[in-house]
Amino acid sequence: MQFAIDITLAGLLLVATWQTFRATHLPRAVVWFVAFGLVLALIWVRLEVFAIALAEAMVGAGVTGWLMHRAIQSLPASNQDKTSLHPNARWLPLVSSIAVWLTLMAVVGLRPNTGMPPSQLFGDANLRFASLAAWVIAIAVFWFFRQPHLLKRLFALNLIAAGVFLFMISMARHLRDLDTVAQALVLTGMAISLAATSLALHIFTRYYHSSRSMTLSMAPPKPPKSPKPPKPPKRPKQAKQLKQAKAGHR
Amino acid sequence: MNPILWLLIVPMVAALISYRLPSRIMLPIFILLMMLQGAGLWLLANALSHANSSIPLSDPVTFSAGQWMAPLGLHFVADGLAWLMAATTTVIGLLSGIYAILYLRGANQHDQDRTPHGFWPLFWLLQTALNGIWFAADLFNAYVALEALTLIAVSMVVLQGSEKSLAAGLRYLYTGLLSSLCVLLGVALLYSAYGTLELANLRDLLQNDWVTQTALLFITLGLIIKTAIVPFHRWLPQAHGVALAPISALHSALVVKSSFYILARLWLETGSGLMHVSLAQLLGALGALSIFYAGYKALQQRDIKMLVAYSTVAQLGYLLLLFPLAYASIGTNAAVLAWQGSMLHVIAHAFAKAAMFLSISTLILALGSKRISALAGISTHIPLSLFAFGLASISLMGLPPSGGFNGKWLMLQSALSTGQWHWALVLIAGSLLTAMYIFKVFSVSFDQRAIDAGRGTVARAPWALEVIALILASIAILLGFAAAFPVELLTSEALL
Repeated sequence: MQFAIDITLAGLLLVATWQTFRATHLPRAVVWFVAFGLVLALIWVRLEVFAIALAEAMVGAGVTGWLMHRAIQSLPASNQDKTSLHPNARWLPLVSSIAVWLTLMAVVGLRPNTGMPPSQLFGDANLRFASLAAWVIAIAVFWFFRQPHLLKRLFALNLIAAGVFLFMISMARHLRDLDTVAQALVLTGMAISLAATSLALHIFTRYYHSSRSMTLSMAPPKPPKSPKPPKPPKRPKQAKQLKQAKAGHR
Repeated sequence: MNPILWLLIVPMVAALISYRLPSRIMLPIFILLMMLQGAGLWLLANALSHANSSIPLSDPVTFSAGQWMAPLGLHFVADGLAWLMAATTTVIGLLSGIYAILYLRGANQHDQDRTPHGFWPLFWLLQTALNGIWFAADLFNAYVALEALTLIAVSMVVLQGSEKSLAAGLRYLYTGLLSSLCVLLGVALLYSAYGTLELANLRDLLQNDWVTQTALLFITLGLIIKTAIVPFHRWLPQAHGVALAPISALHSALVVKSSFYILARLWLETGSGLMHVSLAQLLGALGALSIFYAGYKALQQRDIKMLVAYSTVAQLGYLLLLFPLAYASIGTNAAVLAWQGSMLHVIAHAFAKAAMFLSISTLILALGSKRISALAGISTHIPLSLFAFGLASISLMGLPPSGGFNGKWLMLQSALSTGQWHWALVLIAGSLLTAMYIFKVFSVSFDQRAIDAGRGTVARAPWALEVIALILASIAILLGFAAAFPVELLTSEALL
């Protein structure tokens, strides 16, 4: 029973991770990102760290999701869809994510002071979630390097952070009795990651409004393939667009 | 009051006070606040030298916030090296702050105040975060301070709001966050393996096993990304090149050193002897790569600020030579020489690079152009700034007498006494490369034909700005004469 619940939660978390990056429509990616946070909150409950579960639901899913949503709403409607920008080269994302995955799985497998054979690796709930964290981190690292889109890369950074917290708590629970310090560390880490995300979104919004680019490549943005020519960067017009976009969204 | 608390509270309070100060009373209040920080340093020096030891300031002072003990409470510790770094931070902060007040006020009296909104709170928060790193007694505190430092530094880079600075800030922020997560992962692994993150405790506990090595490897990777070592250096030149002059000076002088400081303490004091020889040599090789590649890139730059920024990357490469030098000879005098040499290099480079950025910015202010070619014939018109630049580059090239020479000399001695000739060659060739890109600037500015043609006639540079750069450069030179005191402070018992 416990095993079935764990596997379901892990499956949901991985689907949410993957879909956050694969979603072609930015608002939809935010929904998946929030879903990731909520599933993670359930996992925290399963690991009996209720303070973190509460913080994850409120801060990780709630506030961060709202900040992301607000930043995306400030983009013109035509730009909310362009998430499939030209991807970066393939080898760096693959190599780095496989390296991270192998290292973390090796830590999970070769943990000290136990004579447990690898076949029992998934018998322990903590190790199950530690290896889940390794998967989440590896997927997020892959997309961090693969995607030039700044918002998607910000999603990736947030998911890596969430994965690191999950890895930390589940390994600490496995290797010793969980104490308050580990929880305090994770809560501090979540606060810092919220601060970093809001700073990144703030700079991104300003950068977008001055450069009309959603990536860091300094080349001028290519004209969109839609028949409409790119809108001139005028404030009033843009505000109008914004209103329209909002109205359309509602 | 505990002097460490003093050094953390004063800049924090200063950040609050200076949020909305009218620019007229900015200068006296700023100097007053810096004097308060100096008083904290003096108190700390007194507290450190109570012990009847032959080494000055060798008695560590600790501070626990609200009497909470580690691991839950905030815990800080100060020793000679931490004191020296805090003193460097204060002096460079004082001088570049005065420079910033005068520089941002505008060259002429009737110019508008150009201080970007939020500059001063960020300036003081930067001082707080730096002091937090120098005194961190606990890896998690170090992580939090480092992350705060990254966020503050990025906010300072984007203060101008130009598209270029925003792009540089975003690149800096994303790289910084990724490297922070690397550090966090390593810290998390260490915590789950040992149940403590206090450096002093870890020193007794650390085992040479797989989990520990992986954890330290993640932390090392994160910290060398933050130190802008060559394959991971791409964020630095842009960020330091586009920022305002006093900000570039603070960043190149202090911010990039903070991650190296943690790295050095971690591997040589806490995990002394844990690094595998091949990793030490790899780190040295990355350092050598930085020296040569960034030196080569510096030679190619046309924008003078970018040249200085690339030279920062090259000089940071020298720091990583500490690991192969010290690890080849742990427990002997050569390791101590490497430690003292690289820390002296940290401090000498901090002063020299701050002087360089500030003198360059005075030149740019007077010329109205960032291009090196615009410097043609400038030597007869703004000699003082050029002199400051020259003094700073003596230290940067490692010519005697200067702090840079002493640092490199100690490292060279260590390399020769451990028989690592290849690192000695890197040290010497690196100095030659530095000389090449520095003389590129001088050959333009002393161009006789341009002087004869009357070029280089410019608006007078404000003398106070020139003098500040000159003071910083003189300190870098003076470190060559008075190296005994800092070197004594740097005598680390962990290495013997």
